[in-house]
Amino acid sequence: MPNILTIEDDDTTAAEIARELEGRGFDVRCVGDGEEGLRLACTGNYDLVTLDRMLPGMDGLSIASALKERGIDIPILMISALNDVDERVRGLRAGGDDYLTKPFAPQEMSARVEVLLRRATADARKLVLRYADVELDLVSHVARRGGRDLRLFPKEVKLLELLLRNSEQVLTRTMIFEAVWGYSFDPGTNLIDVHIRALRRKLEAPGLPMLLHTVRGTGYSLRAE
Amino acid sequence: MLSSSLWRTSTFRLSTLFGVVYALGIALLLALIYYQTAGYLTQRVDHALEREADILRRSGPDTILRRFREEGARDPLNSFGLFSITGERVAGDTPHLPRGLLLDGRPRDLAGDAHTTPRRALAERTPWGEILVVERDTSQLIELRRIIINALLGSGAVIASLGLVSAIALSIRPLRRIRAMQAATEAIISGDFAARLPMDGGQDELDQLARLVNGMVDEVERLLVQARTVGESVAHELRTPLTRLRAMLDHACQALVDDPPRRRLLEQCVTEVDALLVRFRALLRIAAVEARSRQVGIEPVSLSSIVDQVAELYLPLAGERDIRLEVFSERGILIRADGELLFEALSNLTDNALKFAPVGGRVQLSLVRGPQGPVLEVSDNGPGIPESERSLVTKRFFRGRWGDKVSGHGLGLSLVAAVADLHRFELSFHDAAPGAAVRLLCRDRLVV
Repeated sequence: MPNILTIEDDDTTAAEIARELEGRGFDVRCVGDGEEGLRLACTGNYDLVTLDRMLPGMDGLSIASALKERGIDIPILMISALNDVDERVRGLRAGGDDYLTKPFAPQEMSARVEVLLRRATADARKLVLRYADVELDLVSHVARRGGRDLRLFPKEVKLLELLLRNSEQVLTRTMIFEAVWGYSFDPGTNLIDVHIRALRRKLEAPGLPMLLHTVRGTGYSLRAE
Repeated sequence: MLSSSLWRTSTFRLSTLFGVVYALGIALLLALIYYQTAGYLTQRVDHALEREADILRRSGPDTILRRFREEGARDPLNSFGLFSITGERVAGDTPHLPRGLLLDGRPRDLAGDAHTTPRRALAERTPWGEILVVERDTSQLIELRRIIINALLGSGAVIASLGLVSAIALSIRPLRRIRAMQAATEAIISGDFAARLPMDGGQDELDQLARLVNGMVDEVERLLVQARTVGESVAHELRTPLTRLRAMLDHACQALVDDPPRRRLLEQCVTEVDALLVRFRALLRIAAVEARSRQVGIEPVSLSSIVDQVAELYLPLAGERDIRLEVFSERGILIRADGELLFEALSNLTDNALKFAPVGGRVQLSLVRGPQGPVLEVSDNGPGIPESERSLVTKRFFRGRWGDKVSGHGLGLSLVAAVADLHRFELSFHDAAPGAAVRLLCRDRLVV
């Protein structure tokens, strides 16, 4: 069972993170002080850190940089109340692997944690991604389901790649927009839904079992029934 | 360039004006000295001439030749001549009767020539009927006048150049300070509210002005921060409890699996909370863009590629609504801008256009090089924006006449306006007859 270290000085937020992550079967240790958090993160007992940007003692950016400098390769989810447009870039540059702005929906947070954990254990050298009867060749960009070629646009290939790499995980619309399009603003309307629907039409030809599921109120998940 | 800006400084103009007045005064004084001296010297010559003439006239025809010799020996500068009434020389050194000399006994200047020096002379009729000419060599006097004139002109030139040099020297420092102030003011205009006008630590008028302007900038900065933090903290503080409320409603929904009617009610609550959260997020995003410094995140970006990416992003949405999304994009237009914000702004405009275009309608994205810079335009064939609403559409929460017919929260164009303002681009709304056209003129940002 993965161990999560939550470095967060606001008790309410820490409790929310712990409740959500424990509800998903993780072990969570919360710590409110930056320096103590850095010490714990260095012990090697944790699989992921959720890191508040503003902390007493030592701020989140310094902790992230310190971890990377010491060569400790632990996934970091930066969580910040700072809404500045450049804050996200700063957080990711300092060594954060993902960035979430407060206040956040608990499901969004846990979805990001799960994706980061999966990414940490996944084999990045894989040239073909497979899930159920779907496969995607990352070199030729050819996607197949049950041996039949799917004719996908470049963005649909990226979308399918994201879903295959995180199969059976929930991906929120914001996460999808960030990963596939590379932008971090709120795309609004039902833009991502439209792209998912387009991919679904190609992926789930009549008669084939459903693969791309909508998770109510949260996002989407690639899952064989 | 320097000379024109130098001329515009008041110190330079005042010093120059003072220098001119001073030079005029000096010139007047020197001219006075010159005329007084020259007049005095001439007067003395005339006096000597008249005295000689008087002595000679009174000596009579018999003794006059002896007198000529005596007076000539006494003052070698003088010379004399005695002529008959017909002008023939009778006695003396003067070879012939000088031309232009009236017989009235008044001294006149005679110019020199190859054989004679310049002289002053008088002629008069003697009591015994001959013509007496008395001359005095004035070459020394003329030389003296020349020396005086040269001294006057030389000292005048030195005084004038000293005046000009000191005017320039006095003006350079204020000019440098003005330049530094200009640079600081431009920084403030471009959004750097930490910049202040430089002060010398003295109490001169520039320092007094700088102190006043700096005080004004302090106040503007304070008000801006206040306005920003009020809006931002309201949105931020409300967002946290709303997020918690949403999580609780979610939990409640999951607990009500067996009670569909109540569950539906709770789901409607979640939808409403979500809509509120979207508004708060948009408000905070606009505040963040407005608070952003104009220098951060600006780098060369390809407008053409932004147009392509936005078109690709919205193509499926257009397809679902049976709207034709047309793209006319000139290639290779590179500008200095924040690519992510421009993408967001263009996405907002495209999203709006797709909302307002009728089913089966048309939305056009275009990018052309205009005379003043690249022009991005998003147009649709929807109902258009009435003339009376064009100045209001960028206001927060403005929904307009057709607002009820489409989804949205009235913040998209506020964000576009904030992004345009950040880049100092011109955002304008036009009639696409039929439909609306929104134009973004990316002025002065072209990367050559």
